[in-house]
Amino acid sequence: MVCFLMPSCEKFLSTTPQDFLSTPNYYETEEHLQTALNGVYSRLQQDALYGANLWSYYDIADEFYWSMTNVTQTAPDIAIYRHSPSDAQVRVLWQTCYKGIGDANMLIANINKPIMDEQRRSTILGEALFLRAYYYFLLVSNYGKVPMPLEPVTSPAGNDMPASSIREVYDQIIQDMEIAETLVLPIQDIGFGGRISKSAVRGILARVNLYMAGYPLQDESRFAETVRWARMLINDPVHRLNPDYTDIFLRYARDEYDIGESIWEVEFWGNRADAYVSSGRLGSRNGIEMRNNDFLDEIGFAYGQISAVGRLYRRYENGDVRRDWAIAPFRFASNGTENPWNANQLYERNCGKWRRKPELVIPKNRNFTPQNFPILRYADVLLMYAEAVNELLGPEEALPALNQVRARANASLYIGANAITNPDVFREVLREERSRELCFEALRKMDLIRWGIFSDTMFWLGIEIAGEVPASRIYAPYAAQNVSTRHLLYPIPTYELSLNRSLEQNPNW
Amino acid sequence: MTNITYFRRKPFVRTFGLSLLLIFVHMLFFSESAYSKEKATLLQQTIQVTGQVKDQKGEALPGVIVSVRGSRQSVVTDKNGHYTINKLNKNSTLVFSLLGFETQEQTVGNTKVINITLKETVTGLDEVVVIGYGEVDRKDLTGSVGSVNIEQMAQAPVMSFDQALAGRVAGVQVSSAEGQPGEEGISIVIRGANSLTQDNSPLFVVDGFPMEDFEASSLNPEEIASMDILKDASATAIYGARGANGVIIIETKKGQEGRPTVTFNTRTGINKITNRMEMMTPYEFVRLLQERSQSAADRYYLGDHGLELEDYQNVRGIDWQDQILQTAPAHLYNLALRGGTRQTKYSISGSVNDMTGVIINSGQKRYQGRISLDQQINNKLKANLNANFSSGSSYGAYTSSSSSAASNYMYAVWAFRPLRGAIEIDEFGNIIEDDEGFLEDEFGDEEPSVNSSFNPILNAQNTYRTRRDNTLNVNGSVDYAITKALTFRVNGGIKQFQRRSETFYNSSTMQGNPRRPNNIRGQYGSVGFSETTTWLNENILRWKKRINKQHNLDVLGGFTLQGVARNNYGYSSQFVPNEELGMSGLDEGVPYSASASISDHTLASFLGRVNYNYKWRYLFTASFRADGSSKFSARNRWSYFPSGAFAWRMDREAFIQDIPWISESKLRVSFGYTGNNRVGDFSYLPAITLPISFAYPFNNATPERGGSVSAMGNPDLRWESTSQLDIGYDVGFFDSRLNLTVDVYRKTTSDLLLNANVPYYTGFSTVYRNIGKIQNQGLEITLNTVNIKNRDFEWRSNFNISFNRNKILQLADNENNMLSMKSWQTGFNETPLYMAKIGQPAAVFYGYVFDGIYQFEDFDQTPSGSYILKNDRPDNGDPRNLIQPGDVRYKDLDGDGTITDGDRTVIGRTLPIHMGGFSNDFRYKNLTLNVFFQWSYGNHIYNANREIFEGNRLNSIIINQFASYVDRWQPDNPSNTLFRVGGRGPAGTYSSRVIEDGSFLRLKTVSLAYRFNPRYLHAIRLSGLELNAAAQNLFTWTNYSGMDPEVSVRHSVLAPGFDFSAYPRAKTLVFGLKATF
Repeated sequence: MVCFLMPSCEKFLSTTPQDFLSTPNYYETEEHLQTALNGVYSRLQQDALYGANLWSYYDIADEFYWSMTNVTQTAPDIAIYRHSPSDAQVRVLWQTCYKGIGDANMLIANINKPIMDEQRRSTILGEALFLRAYYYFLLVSNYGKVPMPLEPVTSPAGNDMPASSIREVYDQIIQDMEIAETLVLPIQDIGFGGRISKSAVRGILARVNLYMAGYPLQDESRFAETVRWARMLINDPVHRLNPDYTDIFLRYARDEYDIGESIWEVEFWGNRADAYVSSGRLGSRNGIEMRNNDFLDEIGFAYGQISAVGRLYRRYENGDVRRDWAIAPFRFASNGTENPWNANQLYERNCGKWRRKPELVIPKNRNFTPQNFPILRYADVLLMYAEAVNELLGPEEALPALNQVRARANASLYIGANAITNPDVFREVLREERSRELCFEALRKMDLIRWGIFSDTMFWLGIEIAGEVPASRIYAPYAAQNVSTRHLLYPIPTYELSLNRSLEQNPNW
Repeated sequence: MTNITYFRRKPFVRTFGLSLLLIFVHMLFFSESAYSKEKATLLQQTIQVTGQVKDQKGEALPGVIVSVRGSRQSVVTDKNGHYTINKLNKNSTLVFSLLGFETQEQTVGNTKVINITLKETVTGLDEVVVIGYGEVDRKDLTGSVGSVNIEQMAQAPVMSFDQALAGRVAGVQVSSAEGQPGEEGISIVIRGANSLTQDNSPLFVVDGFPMEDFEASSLNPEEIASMDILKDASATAIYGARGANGVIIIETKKGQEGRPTVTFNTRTGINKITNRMEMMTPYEFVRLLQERSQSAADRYYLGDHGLELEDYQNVRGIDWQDQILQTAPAHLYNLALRGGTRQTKYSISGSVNDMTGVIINSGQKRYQGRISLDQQINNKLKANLNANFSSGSSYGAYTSSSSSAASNYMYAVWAFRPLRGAIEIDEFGNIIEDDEGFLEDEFGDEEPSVNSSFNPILNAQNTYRTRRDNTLNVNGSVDYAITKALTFRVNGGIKQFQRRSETFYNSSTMQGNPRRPNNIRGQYGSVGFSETTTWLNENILRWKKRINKQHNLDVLGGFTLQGVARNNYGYSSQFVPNEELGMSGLDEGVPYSASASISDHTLASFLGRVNYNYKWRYLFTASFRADGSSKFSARNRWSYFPSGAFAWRMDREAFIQDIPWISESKLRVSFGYTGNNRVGDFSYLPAITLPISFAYPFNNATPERGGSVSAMGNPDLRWESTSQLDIGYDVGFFDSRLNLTVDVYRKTTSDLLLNANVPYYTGFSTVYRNIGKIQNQGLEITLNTVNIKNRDFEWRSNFNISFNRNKILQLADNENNMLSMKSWQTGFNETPLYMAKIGQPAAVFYGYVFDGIYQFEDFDQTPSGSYILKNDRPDNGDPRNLIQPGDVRYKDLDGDGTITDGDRTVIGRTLPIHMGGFSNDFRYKNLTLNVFFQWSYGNHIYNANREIFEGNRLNSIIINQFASYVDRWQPDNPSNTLFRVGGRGPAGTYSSRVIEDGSFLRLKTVSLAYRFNPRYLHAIRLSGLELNAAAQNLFTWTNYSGMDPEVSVRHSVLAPGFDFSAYPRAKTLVFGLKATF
């Protein structure tokens, strides 16, 4: 009987959701904005990004190969460059970046909604702008031309959005990051490397500009920008190299910060013994193989899925402290003892940079670790600076930065008679130095691509590995052998092409 | 009437004699009034009545039970249909009953001879059909309504009616995803699917209570009295909002006036597997492994053990199908008590069912009870109450719906190696076959690796997964006759559905095994609890009037309110220390995930209908319904659904009445609109959620909550609407010995509600939207015949066939097609397998055209002996330098020399061209036989099992393969159908290679029953006894190579006809007994 009068009927039909908040009712307090921002950050932790793939599947170049292939296992297609456009790993990177962008767009669109402290507001805006730009940076460097929504998508109609050119995407990234640089807090005020600071923005701006200077844009005017941004960090007294190379990584494992060296890191936390899922696979996927549960807490479980190629080992001179940290000089016997490898056992060596033994969170989880992952270290800033300065001014100006990095590693210095004078020679040296310093840190493949030497390098690497690898590791050259020019970019995921008809597939896919 | 029959047929002398007796009795009664009351009573007690019972054709009926209501006294008619019964009084009521005939009653009064003509239980055009908010004689129906022959369907040995409905009614497609007891995934689609991603199941109205999500399993098929399926718009429009998918109206058995009858029905038998796959023998398996990887073969079976391939020639190994499949018991019990007086009618019934599955540790159970009560309160007021409670459970792990292939049963069974990894040899160098040990071995290997499969038997034995559903339905109505013509009915009800889902993985399951490297939860389990409460109130005013004996009017109007509230809660716990406690040990573990959600929606409707006919010759129906749904934003909330129909009963016209062999002839035309609002309760709103996975641990502190926009929302979301035109013709010949119904229809659904995929760049993956237009048009033919009918032998047939053509007319954003993926296995999930294209059905298979295998002649051989694909041969999507002889080859449709997305095309149809059923009832004396066939013709199936077990597209190392893969390409065996080991081509592609014809003809139900002559039963106080035997899914004729062609795992309209690791279908054989007291 309630319904005979229409108004009461409308009341009967007006139900309100009890299970979720609707966006028009959200973004109303500072806390709402912060929560939304946390969501934008959280994408960094996912398997598709720094949770696992960016430093494993997506970075397979001339440093390591997927070694968890044996008589009972096959390599994932993505790890040997056999992926197709419909490979799930090709899609998750795309999807995760855009999910972060979508949430950032919504936050940015609602940034002025709450009445709140303006300083806090602009900090949140700065972080959101930066993260959106960073997700676009991952997209453009991995997929090339991509659609670039900068507003929240609120209507399901008109789903076709053409891709923006690589240039347009980079220009937007630069624009957003430069605004963000003025808004976010200095790293000293933050006190840890997990939040976006002015230093993080500046360092990543140096990187973005360096990428723009290389393939495919080849915009050499950008070297100056790299120098400008890197110099800001070099001149900032907060930043300095950690005198002990291994300590950098022990700190990640122990959940300690060092804002001098570690400028921006992805935060991971916990062991999944509770409900939180903020732990990543760093050290489990790419640690030194240890699968005996008896040593779970003492040593830590690791699959050892990533092993160095011989070439990486040979890049180091004797005495370089980085070699035997980055490349495991031993394996764990099942009784937990460390059995050193023979000098000629180069392909058996797992990645050793991310070791689980020092982790403090107990009990340890087999698959997930609390270790933070560095997106930007000060050593990288010095090397980027050296690289750009060499292109602009030659080796003389660039050498001090390079030597600073080498000195910390106890490697021989390019001084006096050893000083490099030829910019081409310096370029070659620097390219190797980046690998020595930054191997297994999700940078190598993109470095090779921007230098324009990825396919050539992989071709010769394939021949090299095939010629020297022991029979027990015959799959080690697969990735290198399968690379062709189309692998400079990932294919646009089939799923996306099916739904956004304005997109075109990348060349040769 | 009875007397007339009597006098016409019987010899005069006898008639005369009886008439005299009659006169005598009459005289007795007339004089009676003069006597004292005591004497009268005495006299009355001695009344004797005689008579004869006949059928409508005047044949005498033997075996009719003549009982006296309210007493135990009863007699049975002799072979001439005569009976004599004593000790009656004037008020005694005689009840005449015989199976297959309507029960009749007669009060004795002053008559001493009662001759009765029993009417046969009505079939065909004579029946009364229940339509929305009323019922009508089938003769007077204007819409298209199919009735299920309940008596036939009840023969099928099944627990719920949907398991036996397929093929029974034209235009009703009933298909199931697989054979898992209780979780068959049965979909009932009437006249083709309207909705692409939303539920297409019809609206169920059980005893007047409409339900959108009805659990067919909560209803005992034995208790169904009638089932009518409303198909066209004029019939369904009265349900407006939710009528678009058709309406199934079910009335349950009610009490009847008469003495109480108890019916007991028990059936017991077995469920048995219908089919199995032939797997590779150990010899073939090792040989395959050797081709795949010599080092793996050496390590496990050959070199490292000093063995050679030939040593495996006589090794039996284990066929895991033998271990996991079983012949399982089936039990079905029913008990009912029904009876009543003129004022009060009651029915109390219950059932216990237990069906064990053909896979070990799986099955279904149900306990169920129902009470129905009708009470005439006074001559104006009538009340009715129905209550049903059902507690059902199904158990057994997922066979096909698990997210990872390895935990799907049949996958695991087929994949698991037939030999242990750690092979052992005795002192004579013979392989030790240690079956017992292998059966209990978790991995069949010493050290498990991440990808190694787990012993499927251990897993099946130890996985604990149950789903318990408790469903309570209570509804009642009060009818008040305001005047003789005007009645008011208030109907109300509540349905409460509760489901508890439990899973527990102990250390002997794949998920909980501590040795499995990627088990990070230890032993774990979860419980989920959900509750849905639906309430309804309907208020209907009905006015029925006959004017001038020519105009018949039946008008009703009313309004209804309905609300649905759902909530669900659940939690999961890991590292459970005492696994032997199972579920109750969860509290000792570490909780890791919890779920909670609450939601509701409401619906308000106004409805009206006018039925008018002129001399029962021209019949008109017009109906209108306005629905308001809370699922849409205020401006799109209301929608209006009108319909109209006209029927012309030509058999009432003189020109037809003159044709003696035409008994019925009716033409029907209807048109109308119906709607659909099956979207989420708040799909129109964008949502922000704060799941724990979006928390972020700044400064290594406990993660701070993070928010994410989880739904785009769509404020423009509006009702989906379906218009339908139906033209039908009903004709009966030779006194209804042959009845034919033909319907043609065209349905057009606009503003399709679709949970549409959207590109990821939007930040979302799906959003609800109204998208495009779809058309279903078709032809339905139903033929009922009485082929032979005489005293001892009878043969009746029902044949129905339906053709439905489904066609997309329009898609959103002016797109020409829309692609859909099937989620079943990482590596394939990202590739579209289905396309919805304008001018084509909602789903067609889409992919590459398989073009055989690359042979040696396709290659140039280099001096070093390697093979280089000739330049004029297209590649298969892999880099040319990787392609080798024996690799799979696809057709290069666009001729660019390489296989890319542009080479994909339509590679198969998902929908049948026609389907139907053919039922035959035979009766010889007391023996009846029902044989029911069901078929589907012209649809294809994507047999994804073959992707994995006939070529190993996933490239897993140690998995077994189907025996068919023995004939694969090898240098000396140039197969053009099966590629070489490792010749799988690019990963994650679909092709016509494994598309197969899914047509089938199935002997669905056979039942044989013997009914004992009641004459002999009388002595043991039974009024009926039947022995029966029945079989379900007895034989299937098909060309499909998989386990069963009736399959569609992870079914949706956009992605049907897919077979992967389906639970095998069982055939059921039961023997039963049915006794009536």
